Amino acid sequence: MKILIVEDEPKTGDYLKQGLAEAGFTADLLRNGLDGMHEALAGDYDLLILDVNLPGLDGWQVLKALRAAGRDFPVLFLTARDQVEDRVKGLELGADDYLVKPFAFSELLARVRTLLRRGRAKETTTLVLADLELDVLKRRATRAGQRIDLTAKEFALLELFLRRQGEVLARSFIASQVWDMNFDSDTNVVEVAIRRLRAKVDDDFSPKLIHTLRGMGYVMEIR
Amino acid sequence: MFKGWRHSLTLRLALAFALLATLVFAALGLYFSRAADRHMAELDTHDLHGKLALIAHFAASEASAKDFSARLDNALVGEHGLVVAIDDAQGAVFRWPDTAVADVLSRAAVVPEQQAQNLHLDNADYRVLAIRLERAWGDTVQVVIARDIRHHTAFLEQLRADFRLAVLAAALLTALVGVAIARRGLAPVRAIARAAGRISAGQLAERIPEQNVPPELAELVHAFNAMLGRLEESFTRLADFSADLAHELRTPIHSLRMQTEVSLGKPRSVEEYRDLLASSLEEYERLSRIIADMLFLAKADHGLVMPHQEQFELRALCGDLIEYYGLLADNVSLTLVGEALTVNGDRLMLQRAIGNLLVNAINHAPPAGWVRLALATQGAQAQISVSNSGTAIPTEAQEHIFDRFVRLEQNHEGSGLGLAITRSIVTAHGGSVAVHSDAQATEFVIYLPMP
Repeated sequence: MKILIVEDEPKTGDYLKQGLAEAGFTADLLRNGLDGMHEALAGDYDLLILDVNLPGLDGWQVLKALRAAGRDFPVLFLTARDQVEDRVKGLELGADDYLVKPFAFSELLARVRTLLRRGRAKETTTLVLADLELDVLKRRATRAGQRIDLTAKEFALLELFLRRQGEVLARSFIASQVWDMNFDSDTNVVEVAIRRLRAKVDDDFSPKLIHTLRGMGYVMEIR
Repeated sequence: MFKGWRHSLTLRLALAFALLATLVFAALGLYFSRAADRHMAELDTHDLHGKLALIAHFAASEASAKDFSARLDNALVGEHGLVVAIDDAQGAVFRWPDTAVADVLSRAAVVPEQQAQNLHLDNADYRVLAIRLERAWGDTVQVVIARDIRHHTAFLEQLRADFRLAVLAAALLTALVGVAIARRGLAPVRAIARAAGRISAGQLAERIPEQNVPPELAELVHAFNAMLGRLEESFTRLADFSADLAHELRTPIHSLRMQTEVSLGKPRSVEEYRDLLASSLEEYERLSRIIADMLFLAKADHGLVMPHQEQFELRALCGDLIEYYGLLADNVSLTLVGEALTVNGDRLMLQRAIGNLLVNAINHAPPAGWVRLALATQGAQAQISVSNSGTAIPTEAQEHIFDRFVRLEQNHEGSGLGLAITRSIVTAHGGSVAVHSDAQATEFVIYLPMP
């Protein structure tokens, strides 16, 4: 998967590139709007991460030019201002998603993956990791053949983890996906929910599947 | 200088004074001139009657026309401005003075006439009396006596001219007095202006003295001082707020710096470095959140928070909140009461506003306590009440509980911005917030206008 990053702030750009590369993407970085637009028109990219405030052409102009040229790969724009007008403008010009700076890198990664996944293969209804199985249609969860009783939210949380195996999920992302809580609160609600889920899914079993990445969030994978 | 003269109080007052003075003096002048006129006329009439009585006496006492004329001539010696014309059926009998005026008067007068009449002849004014008289020897004559009143009318003319001058002078004088009074009366206003000019951000403690202010201006001065009080208060709050903000940001930055410096002090294991970075990340997150919250509040202060407007059902949203935050309430019973309630507003913002209250309530409920979220309507208002069991919040703390960085406990849990954000959101929705607290429970209420 090839991702183009257009970001003029040196540190942000470098670390975005490094982070995405380490997450398994091929990432190119350009530092101004004009180069970014040419590269996006010429290259073969699956996704564009576009800063709004750019020297030369700003993000809006780049986006407009791309859409005018018929390029329909997903665009995720980054803005420093949490203005409704900014959001509306970006989405009207054909952006697919946006993030307000400062954001968690794991949040960006989650959105990038969502955008790349969009429109591809139908989501499977049976999710499996090691001996953990989740039947989404029958709302059944089993581990090592044993039935696990889950509340609706616990089921949704586990489904999210299983669909995003190996991805780091930020707490804010989990709160918004599972509980539809879209503001950043500094409570440890998600922590408590994960602890309860672990008690049902992980505590009595091996290997452990849910892992905590301090300061970043949680990841489900076999280690 | 004359800009705005149309509205100048000084000018208006001066004109009003001048007008008043003119009216009063003109009225007085008119009255006095009439009175003098009347008085002179009375004097003249009296005098004419006297002369008439004398002539009547001579007519009765003298035996012949000759004696009569001689006696009358003698009696009239030294009389200036008196005209006497006596005629019988044949013509002139007696003339005094012996001029044409007497003839003219004798023809012009209406006889008999007991009332004095005014006649204007040959550029002179006369007051005239005319009677018929029977003399001792049996003939009847008509007697016309007149008094030249030119000096009277001249005197009255002079009087009127003087009065006109006096009116003009009085108008001018009172106008000047009006200007002076206005200037003096407006001195407190200028004092207010001077005081206002002295006020700057650093000197909001300045007040206009409320004693010695005319009662008419007391209200203005009082309102002005009250405004200064409010300004000073919000300015102080802003200054405190900046200091608080600096403190809030300094604390995490300080700890970041400390741990980074100490960690770099000597080589460490990868694990230790990872711990350091993870711990830094947590601090960064806290900083980001404080900044985002501050930004939100700053925008709200400037009326830049524009809630999205949609109609939605509040009970379901509250149910979700209870489910979410319920995870935090280990030993606290959580209940949601009330019917479905449709409100108009920004779903995300209201979720946050109510969520903040709910977290607060859960954090402050004692073990085995309760938290209750209740929805109700009262008139055209939706009431969202979040209450918890527990000890009372002191009354003086309740007043400032919605201010930023106000924490009731000293342990630094939360950013101290939650309630401020709740209030900002509710205010942006045209609603209000309130707090009630007693020894049994504390209740926060959001009032929202209903669609």
